[in-house]
Amino acid sequence: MLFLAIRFGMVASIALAVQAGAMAEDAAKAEVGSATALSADFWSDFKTYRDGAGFSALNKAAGSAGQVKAAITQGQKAHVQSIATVAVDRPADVANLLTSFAASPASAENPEAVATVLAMRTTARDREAAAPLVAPAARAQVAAFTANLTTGIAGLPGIYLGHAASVTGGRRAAAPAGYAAVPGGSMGCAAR
Amino acid sequence: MSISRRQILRHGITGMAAVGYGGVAAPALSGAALPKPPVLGNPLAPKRLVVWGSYTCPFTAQLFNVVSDILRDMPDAASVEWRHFATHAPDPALHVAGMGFAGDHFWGFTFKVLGAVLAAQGDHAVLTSARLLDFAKAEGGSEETLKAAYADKAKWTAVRQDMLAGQLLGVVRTPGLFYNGYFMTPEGLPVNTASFDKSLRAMLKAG
Repeated sequence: MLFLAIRFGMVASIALAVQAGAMAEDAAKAEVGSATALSADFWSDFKTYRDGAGFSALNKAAGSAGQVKAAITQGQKAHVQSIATVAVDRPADVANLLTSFAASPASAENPEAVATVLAMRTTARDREAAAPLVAPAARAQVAAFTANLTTGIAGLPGIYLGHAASVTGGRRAAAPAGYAAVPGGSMGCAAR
Repeated sequence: MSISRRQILRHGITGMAAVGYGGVAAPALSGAALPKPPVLGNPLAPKRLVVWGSYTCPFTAQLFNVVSDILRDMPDAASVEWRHFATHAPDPALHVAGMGFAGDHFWGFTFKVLGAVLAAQGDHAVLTSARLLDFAKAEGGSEETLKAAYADKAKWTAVRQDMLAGQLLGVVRTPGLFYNGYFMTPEGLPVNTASFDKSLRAMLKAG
């Protein structure tokens, strides 16, 4: 019954409950060994880092936030699900992404995060094509953090971008082939 | 259908191949010792959905209802990769606890946590230490399993790196679903989950 209720529109009650859960966090802290207590140091470190210059530089290098924000605005105007393109494939754009990451000292501090972003946004083929355009001073660093990215699924060139040929010429469709954007609103839990 | 979905969240997926911390190579640098992202379904399926999810987010739970149904009906079409994205105070430790389990047991533990949060309509205060221990035992673990996970710095680092990657990709709320270079849910899960389900299936059937 609950699940049916949720599916058919009790989103507001979930939102209220999420708020209630957040308010209960202080109380939960009293429980020694609770997940909240165990997570306190993580949050302290994470927030300090995320609010610092290192992450700011890294975020600027990644350059996804603006694209996502623009997609959200566009979706809200049209009252339809927002979809943002995060892939880049034009050699100049890929080279810019790689060079920007290499220029940020925070990249070396967060190698897995950078590797994930690169694997989600670029294919090995496009990184290879962009290599000559990468700033010479950045090439060693780029080689280091692209050395061991994904090798693909079942012979395809990548896990995240290798299964479709839609990344071509820097112009992608607004949504994946076959997908129709869903009208109406969305619901989610905001980042802290 | 709703009953089976509740069963999935509360008892885990049965009869579905799930691979945790293994399978296809994941993005990581040489020498990195972080756990690999868990994969639900056939890791060799030609398409990959990637979800930045929160253990305390009922909408993450709802998304997994959708994608679990799709994987059940289209087992060779795609797999789903889990990425950590903590949103509420207890979240990081819950993600670390989840990494204390491998393969099917990772998903069993994860779905029990998500199912509890969904059943409580998002009130994650229901995730007490005692309840987490019950979930751990149901997956063959113990208090020692949880303690060992909490003591493993690599697991905390994995959560941190996933969260940073998610934020660098523009995730500001969960669930964040990515597919083939598209961020499908920048504002979270579409309210109309039936239409979302239908559209995802059409997408996975196409090219």
